[in-house]
Amino acid sequence: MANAELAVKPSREEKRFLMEAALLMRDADRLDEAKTMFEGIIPLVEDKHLPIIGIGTIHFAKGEFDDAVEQFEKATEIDPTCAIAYAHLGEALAFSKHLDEAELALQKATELDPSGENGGEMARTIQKFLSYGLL
Amino acid sequence: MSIGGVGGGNFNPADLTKFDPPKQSKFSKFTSILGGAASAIPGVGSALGAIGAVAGGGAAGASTSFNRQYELLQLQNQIQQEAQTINMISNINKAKHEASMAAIRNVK
Repeated sequence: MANAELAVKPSREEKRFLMEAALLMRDADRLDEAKTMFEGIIPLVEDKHLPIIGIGTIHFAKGEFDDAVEQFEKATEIDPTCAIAYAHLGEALAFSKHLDEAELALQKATELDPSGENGGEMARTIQKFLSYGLL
Repeated sequence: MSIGGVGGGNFNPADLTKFDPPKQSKFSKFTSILGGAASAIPGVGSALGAIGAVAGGGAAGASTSFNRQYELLQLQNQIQQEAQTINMISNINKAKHEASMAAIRNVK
């Protein structure tokens, strides 16, 4: 359902609350419910790539790395400036043993977010992990 | 056939089985264990181990002490590597959590 068709228009705070609730659900290992929540959030928000990243993290938590890569790639297509999406994409690529592509995605994330506040730090930490040969 | 140092008389291979290695004294055992336990502290373990080896007065004592220290060093390395891995995983989890929080902050 398109955003314009929704009878209820949640405020920014309510959207944040829904995102946080979905993330908590995911962290509580209620993965299917969390996925349903993220899917429900997509039509509510302008930054649709963010709940898509959430769906990707659920696939990642289930060990479905190829599906996770697909979701994170979709997120980078929607917003090519989102370092969080590239950091997650790099991690999922590394776990699916595409180490060269992973390194490129992580590098992109650190370039997009040099301060590290929006995914850059996550990318740097994973890069360090990879450099130790731990994956 | 005479071989110097082994009996001094005729050499009999069967004599080798009668060879009795020097026994570790109680003090040597104590310092060996002490050296091993203290090897967790850099420098102290090897120093105590060396004292143990000298005080034990026998090659067997030194060898036992060395083997023990080697095993403990290996264990120490393994523990350090595991701690480093756990630390890195913890850092990744923290960074991922912060990225998630950033995603929440950015929702419009």
